[in-house]
Amino acid sequence: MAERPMVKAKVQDGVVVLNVTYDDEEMLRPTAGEELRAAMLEKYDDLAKQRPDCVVVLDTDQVGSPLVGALFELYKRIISRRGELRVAGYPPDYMELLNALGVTRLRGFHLSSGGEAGALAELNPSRP
Amino acid sequence: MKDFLQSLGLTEIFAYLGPGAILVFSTALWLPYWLLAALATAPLLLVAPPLLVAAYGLGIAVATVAGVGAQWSSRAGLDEPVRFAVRLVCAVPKLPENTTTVDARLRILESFQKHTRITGAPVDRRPVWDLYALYRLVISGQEGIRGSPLLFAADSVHNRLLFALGAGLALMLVAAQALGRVAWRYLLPLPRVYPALYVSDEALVLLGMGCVAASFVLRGVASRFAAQEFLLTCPLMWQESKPHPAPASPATAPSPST
Repeated sequence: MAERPMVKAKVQDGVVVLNVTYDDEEMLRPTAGEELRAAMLEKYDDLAKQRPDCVVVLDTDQVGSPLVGALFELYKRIISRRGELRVAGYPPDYMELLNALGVTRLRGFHLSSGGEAGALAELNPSRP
Repeated sequence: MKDFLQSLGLTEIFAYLGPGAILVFSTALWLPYWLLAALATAPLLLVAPPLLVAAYGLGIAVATVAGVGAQWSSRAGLDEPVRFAVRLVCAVPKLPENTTTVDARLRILESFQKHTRITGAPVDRRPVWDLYALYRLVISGQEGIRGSPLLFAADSVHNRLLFALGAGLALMLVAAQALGRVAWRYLLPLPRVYPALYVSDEALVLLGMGCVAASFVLRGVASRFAAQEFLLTCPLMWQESKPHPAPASPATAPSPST
């Protein structure tokens, strides 16, 4: 059986870090987007006590509307608390999707190219 | 020829044939005058079909470049000189950007993917208004949507948007040709005698500047049409996502007497 969307969460330097892994075929299920969305919001709400900012680290080769929808719901939650969302590991082949939907031009939404460490460094510029 | 034009339909004429015709006519700036004279005196039935086909082909190329340019200019992480060059050449409509507009676009995409059962992104390497047009086409047969004035209005605005984008780019290319011909005469070390139609330098500069101005006006118009098309598609999306009431069965339907 295919693996369910997996969201691992931790707090690093006060920032919530969500590691998202999923099987590409698993995302074809009609409820996959809803499950991913719920998992990400639940973990974020549990851990975002110190700072509202969040880093999402993606480990996937394919992106569709379920993942973008989940990221957007998380973004709305974060921005309502005046935080920032940084996404690392977004597959470059699917950048057009984010651009076309206008997600990349939203205030407080950023794509990081340096992985988890790079995204955290961008959120904490004073950190060595 | 009349049949050919009728078979194209308004979309093709507005979106492709119009901008392509602008470019075809602009070749008069470069063609030798003997060829222009031959074209002008040749029978219409001999000249018109190849010109129409050329205009149609050029129009499709221009519309594609305009769409790709619009998509490119909004790319994140694009080098600024490249972005500037793309914005100079292609008309780039400014679309409203906030959480509500992104939310609506995402819902349109999700609904489109639900209908087509295709999870890949249909907006790859194409402007987002293509997604709206495809989405409207997919839902156009549904109860409550079929024959909706909103559907008709959105399609009309889409045609005008394509025309404004294509004509904006075509006019910019005409301006480049007109100003290029003046520059060729004064700046480039090339033979100055060319058997082209005589047009004074002042007229060429005027034509070039006029085309640039018209192109920028069309870009503003295209922005308005792009926003209008989006606004007209959103209500259709909400209407489509509404659960439709199940048809009343004869057993539960109230009788005329009650």
